[in-house]
Amino acid sequence: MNASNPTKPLSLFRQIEEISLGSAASSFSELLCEHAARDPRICYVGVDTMDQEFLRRFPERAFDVGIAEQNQLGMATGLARMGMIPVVQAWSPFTPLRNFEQLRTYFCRHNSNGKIVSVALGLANCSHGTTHHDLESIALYRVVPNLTVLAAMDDAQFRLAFPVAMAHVGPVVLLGPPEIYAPGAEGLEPLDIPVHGDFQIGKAEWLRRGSDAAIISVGAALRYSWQAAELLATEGIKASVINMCSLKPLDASAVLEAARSHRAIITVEEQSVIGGLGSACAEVLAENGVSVPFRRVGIPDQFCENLGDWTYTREQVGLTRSNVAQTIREMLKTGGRSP
Amino acid sequence: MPIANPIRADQAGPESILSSVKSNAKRAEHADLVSRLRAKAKFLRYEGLKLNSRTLHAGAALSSADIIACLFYHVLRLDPKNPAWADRDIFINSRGHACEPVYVALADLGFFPWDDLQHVEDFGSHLHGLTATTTPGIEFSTGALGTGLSLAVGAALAQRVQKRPGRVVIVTGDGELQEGLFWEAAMSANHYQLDNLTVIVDRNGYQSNDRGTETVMRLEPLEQRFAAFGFETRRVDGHDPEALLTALETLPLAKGKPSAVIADTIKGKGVSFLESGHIHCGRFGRDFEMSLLEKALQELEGQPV
Repeated sequence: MNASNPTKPLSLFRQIEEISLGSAASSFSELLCEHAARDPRICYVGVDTMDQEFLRRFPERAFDVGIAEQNQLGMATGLARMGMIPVVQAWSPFTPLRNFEQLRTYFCRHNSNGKIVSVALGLANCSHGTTHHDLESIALYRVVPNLTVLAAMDDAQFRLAFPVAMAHVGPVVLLGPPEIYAPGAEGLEPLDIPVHGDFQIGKAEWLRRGSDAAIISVGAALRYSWQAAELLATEGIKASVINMCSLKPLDASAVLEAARSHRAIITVEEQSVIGGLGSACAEVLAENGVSVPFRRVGIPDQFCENLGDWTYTREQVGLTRSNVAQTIREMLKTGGRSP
Repeated sequence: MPIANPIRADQAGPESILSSVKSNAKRAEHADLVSRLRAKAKFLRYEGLKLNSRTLHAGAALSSADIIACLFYHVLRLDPKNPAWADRDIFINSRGHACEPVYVALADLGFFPWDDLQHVEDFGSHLHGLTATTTPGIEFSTGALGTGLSLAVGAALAQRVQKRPGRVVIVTGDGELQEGLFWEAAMSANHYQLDNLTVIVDRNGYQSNDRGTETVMRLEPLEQRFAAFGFETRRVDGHDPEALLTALETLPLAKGKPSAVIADTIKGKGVSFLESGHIHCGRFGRDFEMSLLEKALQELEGQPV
């Protein structure tokens, strides 16, 4: 859907790249070059990727390690330690799965002033199977000291988040909006969401304010979270939708405010239910002694081997508008007790 | 040191006499340097082993002492008074282990007070069991094996972008060359033609549990492997400063290529029972009787320079 030239025959690999990067890639390139023109410390480190515009304008600062995620973060650490600001283009799940040690023990231990911009969070690479499913990157990223973890839900928010990530001194991972290869699939219609406010580290974004249930979500999952809230609205159930775009530091006050002002909280993420956004919110609630009906909706503790397009693959694990809505209905009915 | 081809005065014109005097002076200077480095290596072994009731890696500390002496007392351009000097060379102790000679050299050069050496691995000490940036003069915290070259490639690229004159020199153990990341990084050092980057392999031939590298996972032919990855390669006696300098004084070994110096060494060099046991890990007072430390130090002290 984002192939730059539909008449050009594309190899599968190229096709994936074009489609997965999509419009976020052009924003990324534009923003990156804009920053690099102002700051000679900024360099690009790709992983079998090369930003062509950056290469054209700043060839001496453009590096592509090839298919070598470990070396990518090792090199980025070396660059940052010498005062450069490496912008690392990464692919979930290979970063952080293939280079977690380099992320933790080198990139973050040295408090590298580098930025990892990652695409394909969650089930975006649905049809490729488990090798390309990112089920745990939020869980892994948030456990690493020094690392700031941000997520943009769409291109518009990415454009706001990128300058914030660059201005922050220290390691940042910015999870870009997953561009999903599922032409015409249900769930990919444009959303009528409000214009994004300023992007702030440590601040969540309230997309919608209700009073019955609060949905806390991130990334692509915000699409069906939003749609579930719309569905519930037709039944008279008012749901809030919170975009937890700052995953670390987590906006704990937004979680607590949601708990105070709603009868139920549900987290929705295209990640394993273990360790991700849901777990982070549960930690906040538990440690603050807050008792509120609470559910995590995410990928159950399993691999997703029943594959199709994005919508089909999500349906197999219950990551749909209707399941989110149904979970909320049940919680409101039972007071959150297990049926 | 004997002069190989003395020129007889009656055979030479005035210019060649002058050049002969100059080269004789140069040879004498070189001989002085070599004997000074031998003395420093002995000093690093002795003082380093004294730390070994606190640290763990006596075998590699002793095998790398001559390499470290050549680097810190001659090859590397460093300023202990200004460790962040922009034009400095960057040293990376890839394995993080075998910190003893590095710590002794840094203290001796004045990067931190000599007395700090009494606090290696003490609670809260800047001197960790594996080299870390808490210690002045240590550029990178290391210890997870096989990572140093990747950091070095990034640092060397930064030097190039920033037009700094410094070079990057890393010392690796040989066992850690079994890590895949090392060869990812080697590929990139060649790709970017990093002739400001040098790898020195402390080729002592043994890894943990005191097993030979060739028994565990064969590394040879190491020169050919480095060469195939685009490095200009030398193989030298890693306990002979003169041999080490033939490689390290002429860096880069080839323009446009990263350099690799495979330094053949002996694990535990200078202490007979450590040499024969190929000891990887060993702490006096834990793995060895403390009385053996005294014996080992005496052995080191008795060695000729």
